[in-house]
Amino acid sequence: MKTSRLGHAARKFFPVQLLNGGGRSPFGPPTGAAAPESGSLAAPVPQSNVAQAAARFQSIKGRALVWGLWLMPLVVLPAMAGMSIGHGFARVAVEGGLALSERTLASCDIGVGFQTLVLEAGNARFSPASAMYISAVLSLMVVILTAHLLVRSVPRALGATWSRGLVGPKPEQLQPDALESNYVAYVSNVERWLNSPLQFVAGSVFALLLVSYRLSFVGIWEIWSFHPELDPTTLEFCL
Amino acid sequence: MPVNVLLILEAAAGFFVGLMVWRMMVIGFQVGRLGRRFTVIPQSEHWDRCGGMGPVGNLCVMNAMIISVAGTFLGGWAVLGPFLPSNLYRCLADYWAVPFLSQLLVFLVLSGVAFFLPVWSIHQLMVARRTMVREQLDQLSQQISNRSRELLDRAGRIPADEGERMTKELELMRHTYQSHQHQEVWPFNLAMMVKLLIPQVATVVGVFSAMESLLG
Repeated sequence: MKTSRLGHAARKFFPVQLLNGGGRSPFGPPTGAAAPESGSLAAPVPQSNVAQAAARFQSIKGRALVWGLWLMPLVVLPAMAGMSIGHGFARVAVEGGLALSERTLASCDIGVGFQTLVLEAGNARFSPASAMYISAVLSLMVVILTAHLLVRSVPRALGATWSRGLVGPKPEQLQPDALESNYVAYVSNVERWLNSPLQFVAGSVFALLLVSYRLSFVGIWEIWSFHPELDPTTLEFCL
Repeated sequence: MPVNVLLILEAAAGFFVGLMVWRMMVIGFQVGRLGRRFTVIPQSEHWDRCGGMGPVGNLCVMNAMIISVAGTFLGGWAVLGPFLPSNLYRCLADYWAVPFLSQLLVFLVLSGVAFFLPVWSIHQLMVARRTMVREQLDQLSQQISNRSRELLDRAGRIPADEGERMTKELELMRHTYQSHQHQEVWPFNLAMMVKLLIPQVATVVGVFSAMESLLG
């Protein structure tokens, strides 16, 4: 199976051997583990299938998705926050400049104008709406980055569960000898579901959710009900 | 920033968040499926203090923690808003009190569900395992008692080598009993629980703060 360059880099960064704290694959056979009730694990099971499943496991498949899921929290979201901060500073600068010109012209004294500018800068507060927006963007960033940690720890968790000998066959299982192949099938199933095309449906739903929120906020598509009497964009109710 | 640029960027951000949310749901579901598809054999003396199931429990903790980021964001604003110097922040906190309260409650419930629902099937298996071990321990306890009584009854008459052998056997049985006495029944430990609960503090305090804004 073709693996992305980023995937190779990630594997170099977190080699499979490191994940199990030894020289063995995390999907290696259980050693010294308590045998299940049926006693089917008395003989050591070959590790090749599970080791291959470990090597194959990709929580995020596709180069575009991998790039997108890293660029979004590391570049796009900080850029959005940065633009909002820049917009806030620009507004302060413009307002400060206007106040400077106004006072200078009114008093015909550049000293008064500068005094006003200093006062404006001192009083300049970041817009609460912008601060809230930036904190929301940063929260999204934290969510995506933490989710990266989560998806990366999936093969490690499944591998450790197997290598610690914590998995046994169900008593009603007809072929308890097939434990390893069942576990490999389970791991493959996890990987298949993680990369299911249904993820794009979830993505689209969330995209629609955020877009609808924005459109509703500015009053274009009023799907979300905010405070009926107040307009959050002007904050006039606060003044 | 123009609204259309924001719209595109927010749609893209929402899309990628959705991709990760899908993965979170799959992980939660598949952890639950692990307990339904296989038997779990916890190790009573494992260093992670949750029978060796720590990595699986950790997945659920992380899942719940990601959800609690949203709760922390909302709760943070609900709590800090009224205390910030600008009047505008107080107004915003009041303005958002109703939506924040409902969303905070949703995230609080979701966080609990994301954590407990997947581990429940594993917990049930661990409880079943403990019941089985306790039945074995009952038998062992009976054997220890019998052997101890036998030693007492035959004290003074028992040959030294046989007495030594019996004492060693008794010690071995007692050691086995003690090492299996405590069986973990949850695939997470105290440290994980603390890690999970700390972010919930902001959410819970936020709920009370938003309620206070509403009532006040």
